[in-house]
Amino acid sequence: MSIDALARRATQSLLAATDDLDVDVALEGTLNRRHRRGFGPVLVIITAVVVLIVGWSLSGELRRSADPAPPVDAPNRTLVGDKLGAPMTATAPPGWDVVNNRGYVEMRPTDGTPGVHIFMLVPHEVYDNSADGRAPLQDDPVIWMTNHPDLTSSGRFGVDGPDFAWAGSKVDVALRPKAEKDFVHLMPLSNAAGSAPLAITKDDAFFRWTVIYFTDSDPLAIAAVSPTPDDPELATALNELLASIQIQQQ
Amino acid sequence: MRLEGVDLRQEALPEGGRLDISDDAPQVVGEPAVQLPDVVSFGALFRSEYQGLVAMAWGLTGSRETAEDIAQEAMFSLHRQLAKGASIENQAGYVRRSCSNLAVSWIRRRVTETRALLRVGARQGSAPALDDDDELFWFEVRRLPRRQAQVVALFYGYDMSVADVAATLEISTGTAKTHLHRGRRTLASRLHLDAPHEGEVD
Repeated sequence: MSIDALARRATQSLLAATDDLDVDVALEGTLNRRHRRGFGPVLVIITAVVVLIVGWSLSGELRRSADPAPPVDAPNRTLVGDKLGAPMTATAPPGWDVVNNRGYVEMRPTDGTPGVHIFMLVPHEVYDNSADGRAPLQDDPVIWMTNHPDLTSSGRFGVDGPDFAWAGSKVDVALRPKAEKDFVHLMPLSNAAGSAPLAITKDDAFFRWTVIYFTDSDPLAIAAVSPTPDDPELATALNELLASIQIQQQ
Repeated sequence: MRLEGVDLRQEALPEGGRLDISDDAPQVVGEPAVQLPDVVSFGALFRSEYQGLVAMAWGLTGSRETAEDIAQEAMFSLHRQLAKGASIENQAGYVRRSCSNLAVSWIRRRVTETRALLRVGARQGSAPALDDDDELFWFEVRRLPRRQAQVVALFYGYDMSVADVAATLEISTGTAKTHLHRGRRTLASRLHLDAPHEGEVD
């Protein structure tokens, strides 16, 4: 059968199937449509306005949800970031909120305790930023911790940034600000340092920070530095805290 | 089925006036208030076009209830234009184009479907079923791009020439021919029928 033959037969079938149409009723119904058009345009306008409002609200929600650094008073428990092409998910332990995960992970206490932050870098970032001729540290996990209120902005924490200088080797490298005025201690720890979990104590008199926790979990190791004896209670609490933090590359 | 449009005269019809839509002359009751198309001419056009419009819309939508609503909407659109004093030379072409546009318009179709379902919700009985092959043909027509579907529906539904299809849709003859060829080729392929040759239609 040709397409034309089938088409014509199918058309005739439709026409035959519509033989029972009551044209008079249809005509009357058509002419009466003008009587039920009164609210049509109004409904269309109202619907359009509602759609616009809802759409605008949703777009605002989307913009807010895409904000890389939500305000502390509205923290997210889990964020996913992919600044350098390696997405990571940081899940904060109870009592802590992830407030940033773009390029680094920042956590703050849920109760808003001031001056306590946790910063963590994943290995790929260390590697990508170490373009100054030194050995790449792609296998070395890094955690930053600080309680300095001025160090909460992300722009100040570039590993190879002008504000920092290398102060150690690949295995045990400390980064510190050139100006030496901020209480910041970046401590990349080599996986070769030992099997996980391994507690490392490393006093840094100048900066008063101590490495208190190091684990070589797969695929990422987690390490931490913490304030030393100045605040042993906080150090202990952070030790427990860091043990419960999970970071996963996606 | 080739139908010509019917010229409508602009005559007065009272707002809310009762219309006699029998084949006899219309009876208008009440005072003239708005300018409406001549009832006789519109009725004649309606009678000559309605079934074809429903059939075409049915093929394009797959639903007879929706098709009836769309056909009436197309006729009402013409009625409204005429009431505004618009001069529409090819009124049959106008309603066919309007009907096919409504039928292939997804959003409009859903709106009219909903309205039709609401209206016929209490209606008992169902439309006659088509033969499986015929149903499959129209199913495949509905899968075509909307312009191709329109051209195919008009070409076969009204046994139109390509030039008439083009005039109805207000597109060039070449464009209509291209759409028709592509539509027929796709249909033939999907239905495992003999492929049409280019230039087979005119």
